[in-house]
Amino acid sequence: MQLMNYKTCVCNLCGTGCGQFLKTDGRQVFGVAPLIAHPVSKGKLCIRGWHANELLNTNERITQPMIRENGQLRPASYEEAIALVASRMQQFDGAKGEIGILASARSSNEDGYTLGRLAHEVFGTRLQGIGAEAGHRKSMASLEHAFGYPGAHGSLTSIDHADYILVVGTDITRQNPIIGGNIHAAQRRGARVVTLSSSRTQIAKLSTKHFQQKPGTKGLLVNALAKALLGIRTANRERKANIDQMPGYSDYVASLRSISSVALERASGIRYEEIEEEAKYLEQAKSIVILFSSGISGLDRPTIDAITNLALLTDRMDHEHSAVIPVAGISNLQGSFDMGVSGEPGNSVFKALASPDSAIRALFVIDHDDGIIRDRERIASLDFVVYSCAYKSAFMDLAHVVFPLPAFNETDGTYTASDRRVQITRKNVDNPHKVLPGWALFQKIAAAAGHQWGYANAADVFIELANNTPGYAGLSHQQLSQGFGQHWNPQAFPNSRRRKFNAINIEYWESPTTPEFPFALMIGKAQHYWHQNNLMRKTIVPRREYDQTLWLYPHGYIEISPDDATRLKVKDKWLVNVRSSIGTHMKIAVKISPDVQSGTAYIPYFIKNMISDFLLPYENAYAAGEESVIPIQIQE
Amino acid sequence: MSMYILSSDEISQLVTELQASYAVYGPQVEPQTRQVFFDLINDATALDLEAPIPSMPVKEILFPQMERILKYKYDAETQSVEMARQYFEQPKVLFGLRPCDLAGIQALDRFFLGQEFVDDVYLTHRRQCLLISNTCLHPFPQCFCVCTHSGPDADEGFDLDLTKLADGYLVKVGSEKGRALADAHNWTPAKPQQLSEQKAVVDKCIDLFPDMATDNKAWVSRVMNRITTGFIKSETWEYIGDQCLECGACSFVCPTCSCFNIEDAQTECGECERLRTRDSCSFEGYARMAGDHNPRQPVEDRRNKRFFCKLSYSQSKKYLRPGCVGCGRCQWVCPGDIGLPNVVQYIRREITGGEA
Amino acid sequence: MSNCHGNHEHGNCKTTGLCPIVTFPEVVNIDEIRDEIPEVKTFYLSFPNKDVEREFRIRSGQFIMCTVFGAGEFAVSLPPSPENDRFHISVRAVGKVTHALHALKPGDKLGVRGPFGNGFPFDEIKGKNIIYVAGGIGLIPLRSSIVHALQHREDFGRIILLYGARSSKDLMYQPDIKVWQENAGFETFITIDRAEEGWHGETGYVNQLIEKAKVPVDNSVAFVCGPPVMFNSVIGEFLKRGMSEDAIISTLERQMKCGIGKCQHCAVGRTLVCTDGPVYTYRQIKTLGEQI
Repeated sequence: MQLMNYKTCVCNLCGTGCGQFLKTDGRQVFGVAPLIAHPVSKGKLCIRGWHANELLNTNERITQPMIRENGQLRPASYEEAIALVASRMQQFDGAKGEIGILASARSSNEDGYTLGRLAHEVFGTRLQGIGAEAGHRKSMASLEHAFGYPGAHGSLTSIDHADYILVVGTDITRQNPIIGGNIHAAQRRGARVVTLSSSRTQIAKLSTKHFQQKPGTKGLLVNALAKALLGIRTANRERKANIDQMPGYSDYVASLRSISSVALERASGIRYEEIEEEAKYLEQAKSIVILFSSGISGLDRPTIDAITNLALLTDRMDHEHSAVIPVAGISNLQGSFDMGVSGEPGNSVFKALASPDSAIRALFVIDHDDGIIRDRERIASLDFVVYSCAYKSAFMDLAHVVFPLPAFNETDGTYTASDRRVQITRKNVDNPHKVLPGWALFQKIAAAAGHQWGYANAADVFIELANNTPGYAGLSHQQLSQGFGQHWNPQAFPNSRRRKFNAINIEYWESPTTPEFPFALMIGKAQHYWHQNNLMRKTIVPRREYDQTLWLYPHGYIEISPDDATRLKVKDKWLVNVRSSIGTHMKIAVKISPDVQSGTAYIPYFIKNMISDFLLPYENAYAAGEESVIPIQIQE
Repeated sequence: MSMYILSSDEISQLVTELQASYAVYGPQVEPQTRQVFFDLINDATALDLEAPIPSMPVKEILFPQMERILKYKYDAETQSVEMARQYFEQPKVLFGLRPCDLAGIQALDRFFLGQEFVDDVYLTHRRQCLLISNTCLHPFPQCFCVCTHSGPDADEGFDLDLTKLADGYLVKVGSEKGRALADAHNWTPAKPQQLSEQKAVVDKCIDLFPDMATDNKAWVSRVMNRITTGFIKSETWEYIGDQCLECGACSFVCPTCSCFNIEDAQTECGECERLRTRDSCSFEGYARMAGDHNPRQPVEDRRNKRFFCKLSYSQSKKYLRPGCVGCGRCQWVCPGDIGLPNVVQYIRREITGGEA
Repeated sequence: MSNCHGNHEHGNCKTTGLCPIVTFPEVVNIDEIRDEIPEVKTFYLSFPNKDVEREFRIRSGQFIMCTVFGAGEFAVSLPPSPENDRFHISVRAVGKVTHALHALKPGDKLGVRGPFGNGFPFDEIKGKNIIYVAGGIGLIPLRSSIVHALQHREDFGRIILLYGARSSKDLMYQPDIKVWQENAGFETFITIDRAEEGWHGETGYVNQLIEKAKVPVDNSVAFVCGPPVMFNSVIGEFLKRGMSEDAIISTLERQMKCGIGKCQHCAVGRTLVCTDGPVYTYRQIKTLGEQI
């Protein structure tokens, strides 16, 4: 027996993987209800999840294949469009780097896996990448080195039981609100919640302890915490663990010992004694959860290494409620990595698009839901661009062929959340235009190029991907439909029991600020975290909330402290001139916030011109995400 | 008041019979998640009158989360417009309402139908609607209807009211419509001792409420007094505001929250539809005006507004009862910790200076 | 189409016996569009359905909900006098819907619901001096009352207008102002923020005109509309001169979605601007408990 109107679903709007019910008659979605039994979301949803019905009702859908003719996109049949793609793609040489694949971190595992096959077997290319992947590769590399497999250690449900929770950097109540809510609940039940963040975020306000360090020193602080922990360890013989057997231990310890408390305080603004106090709590904790943001606004590699090392050093990582989780902002970022469509270091589609002399001539793109298209001009000059997406987006203007895709509730598919939880969303609404799911579309393109795959449905695809993807063995659609998914199994990786410390370097970060450019400008921190997100633009209430900031600050804003505002003699909403040390310039309104430290300034991601004109000229600033710091001057 | 005693079979027969001329809604348990929904009943056996309080309020049916209220097509060429209404009357039965949800419907009735203007959309859904309530035999986690005078049994507003007793369901008639339904059947009249039995059932249920809920009873009215007069420290609102993740959930699951948003959206074929969607005063954009003036920006001001709406005398005048019906759903869904019972606790803590 | 389902509790039904258009927008034709000041246009409207037109009676200070087909609905105050005046609205392009309105041509259709709101008191202020104080587009909601009061000149004492704008280009309703300035029974004082070439009138802010106009405080009411900064300084000036808080009247603007007291977007403290307002005395505004 099934209910008439309520169908279970996994929310597809961030990497938490919350459970939800959709209220639907099988043709339209009328509403959303929370799913109380879900182990992570436990009947809670954020503003995005509660408004999924608005997205799923949008009229801004792509409904049929289209082909560009005389500069205009015109409707086409699947047969015609698929034949065109197959024949055009054969004119390029994938092995020579002429074909690039831009995958989506929102696609299901089935779509990701078959896209990988299409790229590797049919197009013969390895030039690939996932939108928003930048930071996640670093997280994966660091975790793989430390724990032996590229994925989170432990489960998000550990937050509900752990003694000690460390949140490094991320404004998690905005980015992954339900995880933020779970942390808040943990704090209330008595867990010690510690936040490391240069600005006073909401989770910082809700924490037991907030270290408001100077920008650029999160990694240093994590290392200092490790040093203090080691100090207690050395004194306390009873609690002597055998982590000293792990590879990299002695180098790590030697590096930690070199930390000078004077230099630490000068660089971070935090006294070492304060960290020693904190280490006592950490030492007493039996179960420890560490969370950090991964993906576009993630941390740099040395900071992630500091985190994974600290986790190993605590010697609590075998506790069932300990975890180290790179929290993703997009639903299937982890799964897309697992499916093997991420870029390889030094050989990604992003690099090919950014290098003027690369061989790339054709691009196959899935669901690019960022409003900002990087390297737009280069893409526009390519010989052939294919774009597939459920929703209309600016990328259509660049495409020669466009394919529709079903929305996440219009087809069966699995998604892997930040903590490796693989969950299934069953089709609960019929796509009115009978569009093909991604895997079926790719299968047809492959067939047109002479490759027969033989999948009858998404479950078939899953059977094959489970056989070929480490950790997924033993999972199936049928089994995932019982309960609320399952974490993929790290023990499939041969090194999963061999833990290793990452090599670290102790560097006292010198702020790049100068008397001429006295402010450290950072990116991030906005009321709502969906940036230029194409999906949220198609809702009603979340879009209004997002635009709210633009109403108050139509040209964007730069957040500074009240003290700095007094010094600069400016008031809220006044326009100021912001000049960076490499000469880029913008005029922007001031937002005065008591949550910001003096000497620092924040701009949110979402202001388009700011990113394209002000940030992108900074080679690494955009990619470094939350960790990028740009010296600027602010003048009235 | 006429009273009857019906067997479980007779209840089932009644459901099947009503299905012939009404859309019948009632509590059902979703088999995989065990979550309860007050949903359209396909098969009369799916109705579960002993299921816990439904996870979403019954207002879902009378005031849906999203609905199309108007469709129009504007032809810019001929400068003409065609308009069509998109909501329609449908006879329905809400079978087995928990008293809190019934109280919620009464509050919405008074708000949507009893003020200066009548809301036509709500009226259309509400017309030809039969309300059959069901006494709670024991409280569910986080219930506190005893504090808000809306349970565990219903005393007004129903057409028929059910209470499960040892040898069947005691059925009370509460309206002309209920009267007509009873008259059309040959139901067994209840005996006087069965009414006493019902009272005992209700008393037992009240005894089963956790201390926190009953203890809060007096405090709810003291807090209402404070909120009405505005004597609450801004620190308390800030403490509440810091815990608000601005998801809107409290408003969506509240049986009496009635704020909505209206937006015109273009459809594929050049038509336009007017969507009415639920809204929440906890959202920053909620009170924003065109231009750049937002009279209610800080999050604590917005929280303040919601609790004023639930717990002030001036708002109660519109509902003829407190705006809160004690269902506790806001406590379930809040990712912070500011469900209404907790807010009462926080204000109570302020009044007592941190004690108790 | 215009029904209020028999409650008849609202001002319109009570005073005129005529119900407003409550639920479905009634189609109106745009007869004429005039550029008023930068970003503000005036749209002259008429109902193709003459039965509806006959029953559509407004009071000064009320507003309508106006649908721009394909874009959405917005609330706008009514500048025409209740008697013998063309039906029109004056709108500044500030958001998506109002920008769409500005793109329309004569002959295009709009949807109208209303009129809604309490309106300015009229009978209660008979025999008194009326001081209108407006800043910028704050003259729009006051125009109705001004024209109406002048149509009933004998009912009032002195009638004074103090009007200020940023520059001469930002003065609303200039043809009206010309007529008003020639009306001996109407004392008009117009100011712009800074001196400019060809301007021979006053310069400076509106609150400075209060002194200039020798505004009477006793037996007077003041209608004040304008941006918050102007509002506060003018109120301050009146209170200093001993004007009663009940005699200072203004209209509040809030985001509105329904106009009939249901959507709650316009809730201010314990009142709803759409049904309890938009006209409030300063004493009421002060006690609403929220920012203006």
